[in-house]
Amino acid sequence: MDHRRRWLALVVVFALWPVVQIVLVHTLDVSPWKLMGWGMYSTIPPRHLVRMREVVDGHEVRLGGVPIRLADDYRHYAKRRASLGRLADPSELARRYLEARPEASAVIIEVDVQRLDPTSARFLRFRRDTYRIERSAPVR
Amino acid sequence: METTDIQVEASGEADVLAKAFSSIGTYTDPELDSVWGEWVRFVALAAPLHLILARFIPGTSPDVGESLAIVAAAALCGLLAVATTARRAAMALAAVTLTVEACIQFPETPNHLYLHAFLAMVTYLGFGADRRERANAITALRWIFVVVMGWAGIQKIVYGAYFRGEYLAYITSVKPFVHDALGWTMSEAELRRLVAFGAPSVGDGPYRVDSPILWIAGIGTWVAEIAVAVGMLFRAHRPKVAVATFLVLAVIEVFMREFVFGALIAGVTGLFLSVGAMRLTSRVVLVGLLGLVLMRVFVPGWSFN
Repeated sequence: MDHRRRWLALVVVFALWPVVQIVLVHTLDVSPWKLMGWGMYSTIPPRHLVRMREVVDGHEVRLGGVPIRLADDYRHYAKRRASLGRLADPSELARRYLEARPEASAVIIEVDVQRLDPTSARFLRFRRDTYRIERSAPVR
Repeated sequence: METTDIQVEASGEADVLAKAFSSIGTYTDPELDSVWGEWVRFVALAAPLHLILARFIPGTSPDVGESLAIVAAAALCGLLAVATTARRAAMALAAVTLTVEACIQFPETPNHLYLHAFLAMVTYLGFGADRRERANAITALRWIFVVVMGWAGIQKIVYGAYFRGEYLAYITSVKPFVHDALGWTMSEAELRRLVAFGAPSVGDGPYRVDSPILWIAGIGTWVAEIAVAVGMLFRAHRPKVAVATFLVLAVIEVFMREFVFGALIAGVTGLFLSVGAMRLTSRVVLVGLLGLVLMRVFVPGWSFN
């Protein structure tokens, strides 16, 4: 039996996937370098700068840095965010943060997306995403 | 180098899709067995070398090859492919091992790891009951070359960082070995300005220099990638296009140090060539990868990054 049409289907999916990847890059800030779009080295790797604030007694408190016990969770989210853009879900980092900081009623995660602007050839901030995650249940 | 691709004859009624797939050609008997055996060994042996290289050379593929179990499984598939006749099992193991590693690394999986896993999977699928499946697998692998090189070039157009040397200016600013290699193409003042940026932060730039050589190099990169992808569709020119591909890959290796990607693509390039040239290509590539691993292991402090 000749399976060439099946092979063709495999090749067509492989060939068209980068179109999907480019759409993800442009709509959800997925890294141009990642997800098998063959866009490695196509531009300066975009940077997703992740910052956190907490809400205590109704006031936002800017943190001097990431609490040391949350360093791994922070790094994990920052890495996922750099590759997956807005597909990366910040809720796990927020949950861990609220577990570690019982006095906080909410955590605000702010992500600046920085990338090369091809017109000016400068590295610029293109957008800021802000996620506010409230404590929904008492910390056990 | 002569190409030996012979199109698989269409069976039965005209099938446009099947013909479209076969249009890039494949090998037929008696070359097929010889090429197939060599290709399977190439993919299987490249697996452990890939992972060991990633594990022991910092900065190549962060975290790839960290799991000793994965590296051991890759080594086993290389051993199976070379020392036994269980080549199908070797390829199944390679496909599974590389796919598991790609999943472990997700979403940071480097593209060359996806590529290697996909090559192993396609090769495994070529071990069908019907021998024509091997010929079809080689046809698919040739298409993979066209797709990967074509998209690598198109993506550089999409992001607009290769029209006036922007990306090259950036790597000049962050990679000392590129700074040394490309520094002569621009004025000292420009070079100092770029180096002062370091890792980019908001407002840095412009990543553009008044250097026609750098502009030509940038444009030439994507033009060359697309040209070799398209060029391989024309049978008469394949030997020349293969040589051009090796040159493009050599330049990429010098500036980007993306050795595994270069090695895999060079191996697939061999599948467009005569049996002898294909065999030579795959062995030279494997020896090159092995050389890099040995340099790292036996020359203290040596690194190419």
